[in-house]
Amino acid sequence: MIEFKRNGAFAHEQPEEAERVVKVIGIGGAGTNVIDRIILDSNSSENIVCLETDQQTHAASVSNHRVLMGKILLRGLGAGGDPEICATLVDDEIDEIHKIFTGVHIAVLVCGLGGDTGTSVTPALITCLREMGIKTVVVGITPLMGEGRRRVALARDAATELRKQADAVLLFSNERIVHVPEAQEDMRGAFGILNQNVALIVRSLAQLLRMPSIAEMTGDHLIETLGRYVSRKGDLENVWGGAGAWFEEGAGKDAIFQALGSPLFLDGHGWRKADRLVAFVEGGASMPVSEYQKLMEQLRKELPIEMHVNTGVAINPAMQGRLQLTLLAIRSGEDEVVVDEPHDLEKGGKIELSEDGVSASAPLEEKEEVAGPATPVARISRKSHRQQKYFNEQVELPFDVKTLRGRFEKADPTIHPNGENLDQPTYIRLGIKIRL
Amino acid sequence: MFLLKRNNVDVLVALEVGTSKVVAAVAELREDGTLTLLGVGEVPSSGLRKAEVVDFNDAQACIRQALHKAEKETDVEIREVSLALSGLHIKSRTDSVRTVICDEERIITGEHLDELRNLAEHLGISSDHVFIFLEAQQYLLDHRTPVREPIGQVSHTLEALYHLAYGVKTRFLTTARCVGQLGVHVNRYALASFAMSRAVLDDETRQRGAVAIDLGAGVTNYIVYVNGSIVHSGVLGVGGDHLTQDLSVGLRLTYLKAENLKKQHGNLFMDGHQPEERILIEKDMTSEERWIYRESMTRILYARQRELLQLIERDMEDAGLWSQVHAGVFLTGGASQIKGLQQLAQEVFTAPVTMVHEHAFLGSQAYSKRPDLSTVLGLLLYEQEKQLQNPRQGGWRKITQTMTEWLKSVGLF
Repeated sequence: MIEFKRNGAFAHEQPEEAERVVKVIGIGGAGTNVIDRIILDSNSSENIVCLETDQQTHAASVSNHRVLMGKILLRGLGAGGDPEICATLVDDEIDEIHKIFTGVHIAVLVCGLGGDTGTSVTPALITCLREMGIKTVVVGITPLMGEGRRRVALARDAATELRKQADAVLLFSNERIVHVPEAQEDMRGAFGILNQNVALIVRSLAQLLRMPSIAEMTGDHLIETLGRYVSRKGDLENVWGGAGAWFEEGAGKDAIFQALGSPLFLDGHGWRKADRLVAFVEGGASMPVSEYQKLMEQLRKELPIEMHVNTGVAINPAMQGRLQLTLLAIRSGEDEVVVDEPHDLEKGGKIELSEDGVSASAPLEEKEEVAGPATPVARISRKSHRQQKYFNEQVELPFDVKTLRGRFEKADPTIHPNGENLDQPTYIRLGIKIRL
Repeated sequence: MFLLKRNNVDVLVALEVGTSKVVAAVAELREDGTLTLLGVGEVPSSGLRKAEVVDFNDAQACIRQALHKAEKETDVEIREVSLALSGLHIKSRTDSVRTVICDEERIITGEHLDELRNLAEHLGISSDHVFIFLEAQQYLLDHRTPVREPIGQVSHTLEALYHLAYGVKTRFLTTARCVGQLGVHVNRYALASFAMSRAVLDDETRQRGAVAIDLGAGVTNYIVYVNGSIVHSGVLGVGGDHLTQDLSVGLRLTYLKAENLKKQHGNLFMDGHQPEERILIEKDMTSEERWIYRESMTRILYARQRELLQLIERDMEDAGLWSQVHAGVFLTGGASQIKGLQQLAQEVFTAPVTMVHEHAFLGSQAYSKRPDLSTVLGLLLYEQEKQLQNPRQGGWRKITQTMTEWLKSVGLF
């Protein structure tokens, strides 16, 4: 009897792509909160480690693998954000670190950037990991602007430093908490929601890095995409994300809205800056291709047509009948001015153009209905598209923004340090739509 | 300066060659040291962009007219002026120079201060640049004790912190030539932001730490004081003209109509107006009447103005100065008259925001509520201060000097 090999006659000669070992490390208080959420949600603390200098946080963590750094030097009282002390901590715990990271391919370091343990320990740890040949992906959580200029300045410096050292840096902002309705009554609960969403993304990220993707976006591709991020001075946020899950066939649309409804997406100002979206679908072995196709079609309808979308798919038997969609909007930092193109609204494009050019607090943001062509700076509507109304109003294409200097033709151009020509109208550079 | 009207007083003239208008302000300095504004001559600018001359003849014609108007209004023959300078090419920094007091008694004298100034004048700048502002802000004695007036004090070393502003020499010369060719001597050049700050900030405010921002038509000048000393200044090549230009492009209006729209209806917020509300643009010889959405206008103005303020806020933050600014931010200038600016500025800046739209001045009160005259009025105050410190020659010496100049001009001397 001739045996039929499912993967072809020479299947046994093709080495299977091995899963890589990815460890998620929560550094400091903010990092520990996130990894705790991952553990609680996934019911597993495998490959999740907590590094902390504060005895109380260390003891409260649910991780099975916890390291209290600087036991003798700090006596469990925290590092107080002293970078010199934190650098020595990594040297002191070098044996423990070697033990933790032996055999690891990629480390996902989750930390807060408010100037405490996470901010100071992470750069030193990355240096150590790079010497061990381990790739590092940093998930940084930047402080609220209201926490004071010192903390914000520290976060900016830390982000700059991390970008120099790490293979990829994702920065989420705590500022998104402002848009969490619970924040009005329960600050702790609101931070919990934010942590939960970051945890969902970190878990998916680790999964994508760990498992061989069967679509275009692989872990290496993701690191390369994120690593290409060119910082603008002072940027504290370069990634916006959300996750949604579904069980029934045909319910992928709900997952999209669930993901886009994440508090980490609730920022018109920041979301507008994104120019690339990574959609990562994780499902059980029985995930139907048709379901995946439907999901992607639906997702593309919800996005601006110019937005570049990368997809990653991973089969995880542990998911069984459940499917999970994770969306990561990435700002790659390429400053491109793209002229509007018409968008076919009749085909179901549900796009709400961001109207405020500058701030989420601007009163103009309250307007919800604007017609016109989609631009790369458009944001996805957070409302159910059934509730939305559109006016298919004809608008004029803008002038050629590259040559538009008008009155300032004879004068020296005013060039911003980031390369923008400030003589060009701000509303064009920010992609704000104007009704005529 | 030759006076037709009075001869027992000194007369000061401040000239600002701005993007939207050229202004010459004339004031008299009385014997008791008070300054009285006599009048102002102003004409809309032509041949100027972003506070720099782009058409020499047009700019010179405007300066001539402004001086002529000022002379007509005040009965003063203008022979010399103080000139406020601005422009995108101006850069600034704070630097220090140091000397050792070698005398046995270690007493600091005026000579030591001259020596420090001489050292400061030789601080490195590009060969095609020239200093336009060089003022010692603070002196540091041994152990870095800061003092404002070191003469007579005893110290081994003396260090001076200078705020330096410098720019491209040829551009200054172009502006100076515009004035000089009219037979008017420029007796002092001043940094526009510094001049403006004299009118906007009082001593106490400067001591507490403040930012003064002059929103002009072509450029926005700003200056930062901490403990009474200038620590930072800057020029941004964005101003009220950009608001008009944005409206003109965005709403498909001529520049003139956009300017009128900005002046009549310009507002950075909707202020209770309905989104569907429209504004009528009257018809003229070349175009029919049109209705434009108020909301569109507001969006364009808001985006530009917020971006401008954020640029200043970011610059200050990069310099780490916000923690030292206790008195707040003071906004003045012609473009500061747009509605909603204070509210917007309060959103952008964490420090309290004050609008300076009035100036306390003796003399003609017709110009007291003109924020666009802050620079020339401040320049007059600066000139007054300098005059009181070093009184100019008067009486017989002045007559001799005037006669000599006249003889020189006719070639007899």
